[in-house]
Amino acid sequence: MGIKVDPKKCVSCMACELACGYHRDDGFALLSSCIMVTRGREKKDYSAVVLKEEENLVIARPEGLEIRKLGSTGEASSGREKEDASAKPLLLREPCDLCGDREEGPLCLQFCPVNAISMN
Amino acid sequence: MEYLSSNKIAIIDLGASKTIQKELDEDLVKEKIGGAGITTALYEEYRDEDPIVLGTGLLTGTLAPASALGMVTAKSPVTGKICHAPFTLYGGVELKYCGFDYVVIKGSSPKPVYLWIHDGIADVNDGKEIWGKDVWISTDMIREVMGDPLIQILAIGKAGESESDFAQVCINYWASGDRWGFGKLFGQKKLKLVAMRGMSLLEIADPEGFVRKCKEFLSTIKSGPYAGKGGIGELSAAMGEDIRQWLEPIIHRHLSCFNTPFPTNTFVFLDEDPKLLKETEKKEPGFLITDVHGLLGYKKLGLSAAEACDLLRDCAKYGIDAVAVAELSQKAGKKKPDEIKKSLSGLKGSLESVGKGKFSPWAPSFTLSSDEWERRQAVAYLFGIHPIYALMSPEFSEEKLIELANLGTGLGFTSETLDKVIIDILK
Amino acid sequence: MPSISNRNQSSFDPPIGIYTGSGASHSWLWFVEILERMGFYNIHFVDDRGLLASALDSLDVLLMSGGDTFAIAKGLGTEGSLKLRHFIEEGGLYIGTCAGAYLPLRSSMEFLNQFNFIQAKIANISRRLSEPERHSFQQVACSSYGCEFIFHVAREEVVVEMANGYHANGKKEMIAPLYGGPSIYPSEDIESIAIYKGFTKKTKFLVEKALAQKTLIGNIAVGKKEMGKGHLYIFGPHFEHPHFLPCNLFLIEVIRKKHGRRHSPNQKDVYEDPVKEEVVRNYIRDLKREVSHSRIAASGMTDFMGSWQIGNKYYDPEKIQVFIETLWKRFTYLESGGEVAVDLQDLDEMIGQMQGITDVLRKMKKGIDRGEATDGLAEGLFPSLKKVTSHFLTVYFNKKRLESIMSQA
Repeated sequence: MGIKVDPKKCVSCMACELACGYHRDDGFALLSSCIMVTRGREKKDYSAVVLKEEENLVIARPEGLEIRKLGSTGEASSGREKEDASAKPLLLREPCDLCGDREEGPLCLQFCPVNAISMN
Repeated sequence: MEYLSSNKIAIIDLGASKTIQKELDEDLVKEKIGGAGITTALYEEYRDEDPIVLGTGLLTGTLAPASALGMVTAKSPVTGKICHAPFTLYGGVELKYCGFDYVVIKGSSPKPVYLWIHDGIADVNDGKEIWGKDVWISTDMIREVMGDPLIQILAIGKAGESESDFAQVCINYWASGDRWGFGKLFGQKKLKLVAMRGMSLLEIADPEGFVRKCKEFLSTIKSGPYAGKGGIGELSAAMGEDIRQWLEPIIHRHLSCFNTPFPTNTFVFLDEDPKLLKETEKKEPGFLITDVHGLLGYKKLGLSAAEACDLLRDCAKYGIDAVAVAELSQKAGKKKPDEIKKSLSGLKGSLESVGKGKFSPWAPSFTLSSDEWERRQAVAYLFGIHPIYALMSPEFSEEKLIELANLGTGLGFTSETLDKVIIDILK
Repeated sequence: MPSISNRNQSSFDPPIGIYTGSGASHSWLWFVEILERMGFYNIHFVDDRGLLASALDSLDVLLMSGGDTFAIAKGLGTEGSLKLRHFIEEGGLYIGTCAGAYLPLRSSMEFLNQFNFIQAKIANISRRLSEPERHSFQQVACSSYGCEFIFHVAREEVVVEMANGYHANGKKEMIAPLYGGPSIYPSEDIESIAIYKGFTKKTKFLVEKALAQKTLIGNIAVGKKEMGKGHLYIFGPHFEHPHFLPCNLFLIEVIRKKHGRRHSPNQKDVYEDPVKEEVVRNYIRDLKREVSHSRIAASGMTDFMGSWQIGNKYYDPEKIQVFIETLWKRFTYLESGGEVAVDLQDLDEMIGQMQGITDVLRKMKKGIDRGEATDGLAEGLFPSLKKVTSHFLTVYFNKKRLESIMSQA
């Protein structure tokens, strides 16, 4: 079970990112969110929603989904990835825990105003 | 000020190129709430030095729906009144997180400068490299020099540098709600731009209570009349001037300002297929429409949607208010895009559409009376709610906002406090 | 997240060195985190150069965390091994986790063979595998180790059981995080403190469970050896991971049991010439400005979804932020006033180092935007980040220690 993002519905409002940051920090901050809206290509109106999971970085782009293996140089689906089995976790943006301690489930999903986030 | 705040005000003296910091006094917040309440108070405090005050609302940058608003408060060189211009997209939230709740920019610099406000530090930097550059190039240059495309920028173009009455302070590459000629004021002060970036944390007095309430309000809004809709076309339709079909062929996507449930902005592709889903090869394929009035102004001239948006792009690069350009073109009988483009430099004339009150007419009046509109704007500018969204979403009531403010800060605001501040800022 | 309070803090604050030199990954920052939470402020940072000079002479404890064992051994060389041996034999306490645990184990590999302090065998080395097993490992989950390779059978959580009368806060078992650390065969040359006992739901198996069991279960996870007047404690799992409180407490207990100092306290830098507050404040502000510039330039790379390969390891952009945030979150304390025992030249140097880091980050961002390879820049960046972080933390802990001493006085 995990979070599923429909990038075509996303309006890049960052509510999910702030909700996730709140879940981690009990305050409003964006640095520790595991879901992010990439905003670096503003003039091209091109953005993606990125979710950090336990082992993968799930990148939901308008043209499709890419899953990248963390601690490697390749895509998880390519079969060519070389994994570093001794990689230590980075404790800044911790992987999505589906807001396990919240009765109502993931906060990002609840705060998305356009229902671009769902559970699969 | 402990909650929903960085607890800091930057006082920047452009003449001396110096910055000092002050704490944000909790008593001031209790008395003036935030946003326009406090920017006005700070303006008064420094009024002898012709200040420009930047600020955010009490709830800006939180999970409160539509908490996207930042504002510029200053004396308009056009109307001579103390006015507030909104900046939204990610500008308001960036100011809130860059370590200062308010920034007072006083005096004038003898040479071109820009402000670099980052992580609780406010620097006055030499602006000679960017002075003379258009808004787009200036934004690109700052982002490249600093290495971060997420830097949010309030910039003027050549219109501001040449002190045109219609000069606008733009946000990144796009038009803002500045209809007061604040771009001219920036130009007079030799202030090319304000660049903002920060990653701070806002504490909340009652975190779970606040977030629970935000969630409740959002679900009410999500079942409201605008649910599932979006874009500048919907705004025009709600204003009774439906341009949806006219604009449709060039729409790429509708975009929200920070945490705003309704996307009030529309990105159009002018040099690329609007249906393209992947990243464009072209670096600058189109334009983000943030101001419905400018678009409507060009439509009235009989232009196609593509021609109108192309002109909007030119206005934003030049840093001039498209509404003024459209109105003055109409008056002068100019209807050809090339003709209008040529007229940007040295544009003169008087406007009908200029705002009469304190708040920018950027937010449409929809079907509201002017008193209703003004009160709703005042509320939006105090709490930091997107001014257009505040008008579209009356269910996000004053009582609800006060309730959120109290959960967030624990300061015990009442409707009497709100009434008093509103009277105060409308004086 | 479990947290450690410093309620047990006593005046016992032995000089502790944390290795940050060649081969060290970012996990040494975890040691910083847990030591600070427990009220240990007499913390010093030792790179390979420092260790080869005289850094160990003033320490009671040396902490060696994860990373690239071979690079650590190569960086320290024969001279480093002699220094380390001398340190332990003269009463020092060596605590090694993961790479720091492999280092003193027996090896015939060049450089590593200088550090054969413990004559115990590594269970997860390829010569223990059958030919089909060996073959199955060659694609994934292994690190080169001379003509052999180290293989990894499981990651994340494992269960360890205390042995030989040891206990962890009264308990016999605890959950510990494993990220490539050794499994050690029982041997007369090492006292078993804890053995690998089992797995949890969060264990991630890298091979079939049967092979994982064969490689880990019953073998030593934590071991101890006496050497001269001192001791080595080696931990396969990362007992310093800040989210594993019982592990942290056990590790801290090992340090607490280290009685007495071998040397007179090194407090020279604490007592001499604390610099005036207002002078330092301006320097701290300039440093903060530069750290903010790096912080912002690093955030500019969050759109970059790739990693850099440096040697055998992969580096994600987030790792840059991990180092920078370690500094950033400590500024509030440094800015809070009071005396800081610091050489202004040190602060000046740090500001220069941060400017260098910002420049590299900005170049990397430009390179990424243009689709150019940036591995070369990243290779230079991470050692600089380690250096400036340890430099900064030295100033930070000096201030903490000074305040702690003053308050006790």
